[in-house]
Amino acid sequence: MNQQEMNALKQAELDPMAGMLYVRGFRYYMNYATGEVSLSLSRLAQELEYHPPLRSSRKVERPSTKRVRTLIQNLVDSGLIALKKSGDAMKNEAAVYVCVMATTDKKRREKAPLKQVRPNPQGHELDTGQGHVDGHSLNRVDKGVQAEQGHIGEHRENSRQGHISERSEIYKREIARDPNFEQPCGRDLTLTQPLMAIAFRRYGQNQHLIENEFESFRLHKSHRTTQRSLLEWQDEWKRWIARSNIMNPTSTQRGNHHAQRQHPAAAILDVCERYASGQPGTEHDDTDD
Amino acid sequence: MNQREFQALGASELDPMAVVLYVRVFRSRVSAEHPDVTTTRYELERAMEFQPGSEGYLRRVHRVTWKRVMELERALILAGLLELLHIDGDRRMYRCLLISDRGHE
Repeated sequence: MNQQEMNALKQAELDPMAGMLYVRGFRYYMNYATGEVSLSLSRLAQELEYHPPLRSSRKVERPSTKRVRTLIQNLVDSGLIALKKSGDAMKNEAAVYVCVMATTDKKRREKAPLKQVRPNPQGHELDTGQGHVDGHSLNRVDKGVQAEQGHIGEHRENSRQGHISERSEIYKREIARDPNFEQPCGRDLTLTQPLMAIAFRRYGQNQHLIENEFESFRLHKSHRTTQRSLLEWQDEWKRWIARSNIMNPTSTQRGNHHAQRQHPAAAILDVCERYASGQPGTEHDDTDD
Repeated sequence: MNQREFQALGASELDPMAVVLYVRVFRSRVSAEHPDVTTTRYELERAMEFQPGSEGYLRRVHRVTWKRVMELERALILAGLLELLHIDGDRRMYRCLLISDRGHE
């Protein structure tokens, strides 16, 4: 939201509820490419609903459609929105409004006719066919329809782009190091020596347990069709083992040992029986500790 | 205003008037580099005034009480939009937590 919109929202003549309708209704659902928004009155009323917290004495507030109409008129009068096309109840079409003061892609492009062309992860420059485009438009080309609607923040696109380029760099380095570089999917993984070595640290020499765990790892729903480099699979296997709830064999044995411990009364009875039979305890029992 | 702010302001649990308070007092004064804003009780009350422009002789200023302003401030803090840094007499210093220089304006 730009400063011009903020100033318009600060006008004392503007109903506070109208300001909220602009933020929650029009501005939130605005198409960033065109600045248009089309919402029915009932939908706008829904956006203005207030659900008080639990144990509050206030009731759920929902404005009537008449009230919403008044608020829309208030916004039109203040110059924040303009009616582009009236709705048609017979055709079940909502009215189309334009956020006049909002910064759209078109305005942005007009304001800063552009300078930079950023290379994509494959190494060649993107050609948008427009000659001069800004960075935002480039992102839009990358992301397709989602960015066209403008609901995805630029920051998310940038971070994703960064992530992709980082990964492609890793792949490039891997390919340079190993000509037989491959990206197997989880289903094709085999329990190789490096993977086995990672598992040994956790499970010890219990081959059977490791194989079972590896089987569930490679056939996990998020692994079986995912392609990764071997190094990435090793990292994932490390994480998997760290998260694993299976206790290592030594601790399991210890657990069983404690589970089998006799009740004190039973131990005393046992000692008494041994004394009675003339064979006093030759072996030291743990329960005496 | 970025997408995170829009989502926080769009929550139906947030008092509608709190949205207005946030936009009118806090958001219009801060930027990503300077997310802190200092305001006074007078400014907060004044920002919530509404003076209808088309009601003729019925035209009168609608005001909110200080108690109501404090309710709205608390709602914004609970929604994670604001943080009250300190109070110095009449002056109150806040930080807008969701401000960023990325995303759509």
